[in-house]
Amino acid sequence: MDPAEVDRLLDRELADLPRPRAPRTLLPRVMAAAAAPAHAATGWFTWPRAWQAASVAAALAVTALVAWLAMAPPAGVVNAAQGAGQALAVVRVLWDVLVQPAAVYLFVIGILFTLACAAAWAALDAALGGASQR
Amino acid sequence: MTDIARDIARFEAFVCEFQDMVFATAVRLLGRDSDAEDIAQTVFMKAFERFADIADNPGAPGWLKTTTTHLCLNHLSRYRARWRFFSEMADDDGAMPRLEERIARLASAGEELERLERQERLERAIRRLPDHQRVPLVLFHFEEMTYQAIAEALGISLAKVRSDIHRGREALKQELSVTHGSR
Repeated sequence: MDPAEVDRLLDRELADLPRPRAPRTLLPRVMAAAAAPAHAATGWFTWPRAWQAASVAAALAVTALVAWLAMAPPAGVVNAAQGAGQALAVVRVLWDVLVQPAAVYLFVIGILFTLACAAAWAALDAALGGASQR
Repeated sequence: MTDIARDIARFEAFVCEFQDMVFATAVRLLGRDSDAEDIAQTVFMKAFERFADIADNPGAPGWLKTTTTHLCLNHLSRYRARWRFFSEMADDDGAMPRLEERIARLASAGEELERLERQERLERAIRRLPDHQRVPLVLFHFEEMTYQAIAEALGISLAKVRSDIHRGREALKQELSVTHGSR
């Protein structure tokens, strides 16, 4: 067999070589990667048109309501606001008189109690030879 | 079905159609299945980003092949300096034994099993070739690039391309001779 014939044999073998097939894992990998950004794209611009129109209408309605309440509040709303303000004042007085003076002490007691529990657990664990880790 | 779900379904069909082609190009250029799978995934993600443009484009297979080739060469480029170094060293090695006489004794493959075995050995031999021989050989034989285009793509001389392809082919001839000689 002359060299040219050998070359032709190799060319023929290379041309007849079947194409390697992609592994079965490739398609799931690609589709998972492709689906990830699709799921992430949930912004307002990706909503259906009807939802977009409804959301715009709802936003306009809320804005109009707030503007109406601010510019010409009805008596009921004014009374409710005044009542809420009075209730808030009562809550604030109670906080200043009763809770706040004791808050620091309660916090310190809580810290000390936590440390004591941790120390007791560590001592118990040491006494049992690390049984809690097994 | 939403637009996104419809696009995903079309893209899945697209990947199914071209995954073997993309993977084959990558695995022959890189020589390693795991690297080829990574590159193939990257290629398809690039295709997904511009799927509206290429989904029904008849040039999609060409775009996929070109992108795969570029990504593989970029992947290999981190070893490019070492590749060139060993490639230059390889120029000084001894002459390859004459294989023509051994191959002359070969009979044509008659049985399907032998043909499949020979193809498998040849495929493995291609992947075993050093990068500086395998890459130009694959680009020439499987990607149908010219010597000049290969030289430009790899940034090496035309003579170097000829030399590396020749050496790669010699190694493959040896593999062929072993296959036939073992019968």
